[in-house]
Amino acid sequence: MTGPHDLTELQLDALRELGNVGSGHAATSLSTMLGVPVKMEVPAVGLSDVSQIGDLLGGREAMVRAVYLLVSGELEGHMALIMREAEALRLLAALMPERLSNQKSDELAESALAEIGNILTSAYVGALTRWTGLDLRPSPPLTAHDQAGAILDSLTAELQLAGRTVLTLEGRLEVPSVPGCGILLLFLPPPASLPRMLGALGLDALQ
Amino acid sequence: MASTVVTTDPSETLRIVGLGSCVAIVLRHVQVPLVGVGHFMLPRRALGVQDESDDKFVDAGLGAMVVKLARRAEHSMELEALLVGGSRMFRGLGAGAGIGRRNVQAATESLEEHGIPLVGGDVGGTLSRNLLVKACGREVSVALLGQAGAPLTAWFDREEPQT
Repeated sequence: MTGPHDLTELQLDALRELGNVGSGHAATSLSTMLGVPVKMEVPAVGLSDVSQIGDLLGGREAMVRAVYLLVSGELEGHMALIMREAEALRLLAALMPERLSNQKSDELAESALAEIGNILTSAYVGALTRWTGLDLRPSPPLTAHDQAGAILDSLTAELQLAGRTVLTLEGRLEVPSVPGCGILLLFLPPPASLPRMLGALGLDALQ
Repeated sequence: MASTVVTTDPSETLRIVGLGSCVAIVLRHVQVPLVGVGHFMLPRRALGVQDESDDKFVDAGLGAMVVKLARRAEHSMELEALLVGGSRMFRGLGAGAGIGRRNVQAATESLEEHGIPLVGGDVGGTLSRNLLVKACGREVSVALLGQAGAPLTAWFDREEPQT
């Protein structure tokens, strides 16, 4: 049996392709919601140890916005979307400048970013559903806003993920006239679920 | 991230950034310059997956830190403790009180089991903290997210209001 640590190149390619397709859906959904063209580049899809993820976000002290949801159904897994706060707020300011200028801007930013996170994660779950044919249901998203180290440690502790390998997708949201906004999508299938997912993708027996 | 550091050098500064639901325990010797700082992620060993190193767990990690300090202490082992962290990063994540609160509880219980008095702390709430330990634990300051660091001299529980 192939473990998460020793995926074949072919299986990794399939996950990359899944990430690309999901990102395409995610960008389209976001574009529809915001009424502006949105593109998503996916420079990297890979596997990381949970403890290494802070490095992808710029260190433990980096301020981030995070959305977490539980995927359940025929396959279970944890999904989290993390954006660096400065980039996320810059994106938001460009998308809805008039709404962010009043005194309620903090709450608005919070809920707008939560909604963006919700749309993006739903799109990835949708892509996974279509690709695998498995019945998957995302839970309502939970949001957090704090230092990257604190958020990642809390997820690791609360979900008992220490020492586990995570599927990571580093994406970049591109909107006209704004510098891109990096996103980090984490997907953590329980050990028993990854082979199942690869199996549903037709890759279980391929080496 | 979990680790334990012990020092007898008063010029050394120990720093932990991004304490969320994790807790940090500062154990300082009341007479000689000797301090240990441990950063723990989970309350008790039985809760975690197997083949974990002990220092992720409050109970096992505290025990290991006490042993480390005892090796450095020449004669007596008169320690006192400060406790920092244990906040809730995601409202609604996990069962019951959340892992942060359980870490705080495990820490207070474990300290009691070791007979080490808890003389101060800043725990609970919904924001992360940064911890700075100087002068072998004589100067300890805590900065709540978005706030300046303040000396830690009393016990402060920022338990979320009941909703």
